[in-house]
Amino acid sequence: MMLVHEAGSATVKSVLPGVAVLVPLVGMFVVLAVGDRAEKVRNWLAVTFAAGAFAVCVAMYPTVISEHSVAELNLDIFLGDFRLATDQMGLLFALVASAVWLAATLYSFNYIGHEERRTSFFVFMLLSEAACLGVFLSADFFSLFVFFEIMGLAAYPLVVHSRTYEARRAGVKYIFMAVYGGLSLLLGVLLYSNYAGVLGFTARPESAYLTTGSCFIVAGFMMFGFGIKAGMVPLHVWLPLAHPAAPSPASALLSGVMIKAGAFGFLRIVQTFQTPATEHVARLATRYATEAPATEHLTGSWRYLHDLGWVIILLALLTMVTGMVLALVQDNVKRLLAYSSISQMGFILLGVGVGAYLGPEGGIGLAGALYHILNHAFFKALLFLGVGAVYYATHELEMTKLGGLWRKMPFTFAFTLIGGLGIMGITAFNGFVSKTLLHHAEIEALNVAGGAAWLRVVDVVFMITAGGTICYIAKLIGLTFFGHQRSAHAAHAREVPAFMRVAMGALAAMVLAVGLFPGWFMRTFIIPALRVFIGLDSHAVAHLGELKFYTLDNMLAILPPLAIGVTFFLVMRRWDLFRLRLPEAAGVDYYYTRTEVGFLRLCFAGSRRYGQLRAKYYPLARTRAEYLLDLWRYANQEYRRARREGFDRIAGLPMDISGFTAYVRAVQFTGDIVYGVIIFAVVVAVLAFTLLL
Amino acid sequence: MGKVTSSVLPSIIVFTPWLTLLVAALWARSRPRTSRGLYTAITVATGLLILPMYGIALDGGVVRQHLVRVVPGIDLAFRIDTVGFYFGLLLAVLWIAAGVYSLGYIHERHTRYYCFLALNLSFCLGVAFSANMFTLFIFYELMSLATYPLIIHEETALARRAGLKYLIYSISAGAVILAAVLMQYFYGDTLSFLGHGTLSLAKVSKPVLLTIFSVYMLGFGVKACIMPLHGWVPDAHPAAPAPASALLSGVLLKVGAFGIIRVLYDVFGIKLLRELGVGLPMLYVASFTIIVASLFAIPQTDLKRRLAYSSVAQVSYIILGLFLLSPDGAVGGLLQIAHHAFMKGTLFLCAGIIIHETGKRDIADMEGVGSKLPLTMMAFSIAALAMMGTPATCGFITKWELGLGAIQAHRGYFIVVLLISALLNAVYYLPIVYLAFFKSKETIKFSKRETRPSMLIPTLVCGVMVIVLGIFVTVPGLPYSLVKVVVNAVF
Repeated sequence: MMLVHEAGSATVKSVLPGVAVLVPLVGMFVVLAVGDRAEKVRNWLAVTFAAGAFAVCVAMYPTVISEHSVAELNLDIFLGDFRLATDQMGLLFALVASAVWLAATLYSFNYIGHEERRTSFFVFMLLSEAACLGVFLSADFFSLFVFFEIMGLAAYPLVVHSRTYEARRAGVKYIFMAVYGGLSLLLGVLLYSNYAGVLGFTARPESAYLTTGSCFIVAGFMMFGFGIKAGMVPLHVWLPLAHPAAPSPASALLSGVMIKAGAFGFLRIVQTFQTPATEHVARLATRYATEAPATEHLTGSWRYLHDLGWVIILLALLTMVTGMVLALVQDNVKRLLAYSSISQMGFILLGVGVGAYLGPEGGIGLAGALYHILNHAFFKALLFLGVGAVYYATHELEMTKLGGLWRKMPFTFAFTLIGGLGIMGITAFNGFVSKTLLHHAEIEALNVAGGAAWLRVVDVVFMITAGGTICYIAKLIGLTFFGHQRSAHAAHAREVPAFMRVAMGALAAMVLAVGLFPGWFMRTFIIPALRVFIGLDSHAVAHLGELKFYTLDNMLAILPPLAIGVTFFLVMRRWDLFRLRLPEAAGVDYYYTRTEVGFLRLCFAGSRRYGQLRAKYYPLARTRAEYLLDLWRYANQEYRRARREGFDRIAGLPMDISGFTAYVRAVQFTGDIVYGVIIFAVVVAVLAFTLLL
Repeated sequence: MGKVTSSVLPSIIVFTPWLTLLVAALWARSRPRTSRGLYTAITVATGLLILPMYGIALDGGVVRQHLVRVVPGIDLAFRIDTVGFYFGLLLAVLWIAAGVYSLGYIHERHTRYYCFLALNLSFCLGVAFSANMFTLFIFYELMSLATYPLIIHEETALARRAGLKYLIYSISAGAVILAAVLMQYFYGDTLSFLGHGTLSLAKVSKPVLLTIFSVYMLGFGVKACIMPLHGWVPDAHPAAPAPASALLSGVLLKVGAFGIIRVLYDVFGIKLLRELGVGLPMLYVASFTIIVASLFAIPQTDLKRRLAYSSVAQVSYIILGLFLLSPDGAVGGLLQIAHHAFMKGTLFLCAGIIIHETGKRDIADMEGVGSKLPLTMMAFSIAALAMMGTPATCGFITKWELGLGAIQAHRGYFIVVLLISALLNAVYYLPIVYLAFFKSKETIKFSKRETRPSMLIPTLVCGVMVIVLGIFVTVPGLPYSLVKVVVNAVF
């Protein structure tokens, strides 16, 4: 591969990124080797390897963060240039991913113990962890693509694990969406390497990528690929099918972590649009002097980033609202959480969009996105594990058939409640922190853009979606844990075993920790991660570290969503809107499926029609070939006669190659035609020459 | 450039497989089991004889041997250059795999089968090692004929029909190639392969060159199954026994592609082809084949027939890569020869095990096969994923190189063809994997009695190669290193 890589600023050679990927991969083989023979050993091995991956990620922290450097590993064998590297943003993702994986693996001990194909479950858990860490620790788009594809495929067996009809149907949707996304991403990566001349995440400022509009083509294809994984509307169709179909620990990972690979991709795209900050210092100085709106000063690639930003913002708004509305009307707890994931991914994309829109000053938007990624990983995983525990105890996922579980399952109730308060964005829980940050970012976009009218919509949608979130989570927790027990299953529920409680407790502790010490997490993880965005205004980023979250203003800001949420709840209760079901044709999935099925039908119908035509015209061709066939029949007669009489007389060999002898005769008989064809060909050639010369 | 050495080794390699006939004559009746073991040993010996040339090939060197002068300008001679070595080595490896597999799969008419298998290897090596178009043509024709008994091996009515079709196609193709060789002889200076183009616009007019080129393409296109010359492929593959189909698809189709490589690099040369402007039309033909053959594969219900259509599409990847006329494209095209050989080899060998163990040929019946034949179906799944171009398998490497090649040739839009093809591959391969593993609720149980080891081991080796070639790409000795030497010499 002849492509040149941009040299990183300060890189440290280290094998740790490779080890982080290798540990779960090796674990996969070990778990496969142990198999069903020793269940306990296998389970503990799986947890050990997941913990090992987490430990390696933690071990990378000092190098990557304190020395402001990138730990890098170069594998020469794979097309000469396969690089893994941990930069500050990748490390944040890898830490979150490996932590949630550890919790989910621990949780799986008991949860998966009652199901079939346990070894296969752990094997693919570890394989997808390896691939997921690979995505986050890749040094360029090439290795990112490689791991992204593997992750998509490795998660398929998790989705269809139960082998029920729903799971298999979800699997078909999932795998094909993953294939579409992978192909689009591959095209994007190939075009990126062509235009940017590098595969790394920092495009050269003078390359065609940043000086012509070609970056939009690349970004378009990549966004399609990453958008599918991120559950971005209108590419989300697989998500509400696949996430609920998987066993709960796998759902927690799909929704908590793997979906973030899509958001990670979006952040990487934004990164490629950025050029070093130095070029903009002068421009920023003018802005501070004149107090003019920043975006008017954006030129060149920053202008492109600005435009990309509002496209992402629009997609984010669509995603937020669609996910929220559909989550409101679900009865299945896991489907509700899946739609909630779509909506929350909208929040994350909003942060990314605003970060892009604001150009050099987009630090706050990107920080909001990163923080919400961190938070969503913890609370969504926690919620999925929580409803998984409910399912474990009751074998029931319909909210309408649950109820009154808080007394029977106090731990599960408490942990799920913490997760719920987190996602609602209630003060002192982690969602509050990131939503506050996102809200600030979106207000800043409004202010800086000089009052672009449509940006006001963003604030309105933000508030409504936050309100909707409060409403559907209240519905989830209310119907599941409060009221009276609406089924025998619910009445006989018992608290789940210790491992499951420990796993949920750990995640709940993280939700609380972030909520209580938001500044520490900000300074330790989020702000360093922003360093990969080389164009950001460093003063503004430094200022983010001093941000106070628990101010009166911020705390009052949750009142409007709360009011909206309560209104939603009352209105929907009053007119029974919770049971509203839209016709299938209202969703995009209906049309996707029709297109796919239509295509297959076309193939089969075409094949049938071809058969009919063949049957019609074949006799005609047959008469033309009659002469040939006659000869052939004669040859066959000869062959049969020869077989009957034996072939020992031929060369006197005691060999069973009678077929060969007959075949020689056949060739002799068809020889006429052969020579005919040769002569014909030569004549045609000679004629062609005489005509052409 | 490496040095030129003279040696008798080429003819020893080419004629070693003939020992099979001797063994058959001596012991086929009296000691059937021993003789079958010896057949395999002979194939392995052939492979081992090729290996010593490894160093020379990696340096871009050439081993020559002159056999006989027929008339002035027409010689029977061998010449092993890097691309010939690459192809020869691939032939030997696949032949060993298929030979071992046949020990378990073939239950009747052993002698005829193994004799023609060996003759086929000999002729294919002759094609790979030939020093000029005349020698290549001779061996190419012999190879075409020697394939016939393998196709009709089962002697069913269906197999005979397929065999007839095959004969008509390949014999007429042979005649067409002969016409092209004659034209080249009369208009060009030499029939020899010299590592660069021997025809030039200075001596021959453009229409003549175009005619020679098109006649060559028509001739080799039948074996390389460029649409619409592919008609025999979907009939011959399902009819032949599995190891023979694996060879047909894995290497025999590539012999046609190899002929095209010779025409490209040793008859015309890249510069002349650019001047003639034949690259783009051939790219369109290849793209058409890739897409249409993939579409044809979708409604096929017979497993081997679906695989056959897939081969038609995949072989055109080679044509696509070669006619991009850019270094990376050529790397992709040449890599595809080996990579596809292992992918499709695995698939056909797996199909053979399925048919042998369960008797199922129809894809709709594949439900739950994965729990009965877990290792087989895992190999199948890996190869199927490789066909889709999944990273960490060899299919991805070719796709990536072809993509880079398309960009390098400023024809980036051909990437779309590759992507559509990958998607269609997913459409027709994934359902098989799904049916085998994910449709039924049965738990997979590995058992030692899955199938005979003689069938399982070659299949798994091919399956592992699919991954090895996809990860350890640049390790010296694997296709990539050899292909790089070839491409660096040509461009």
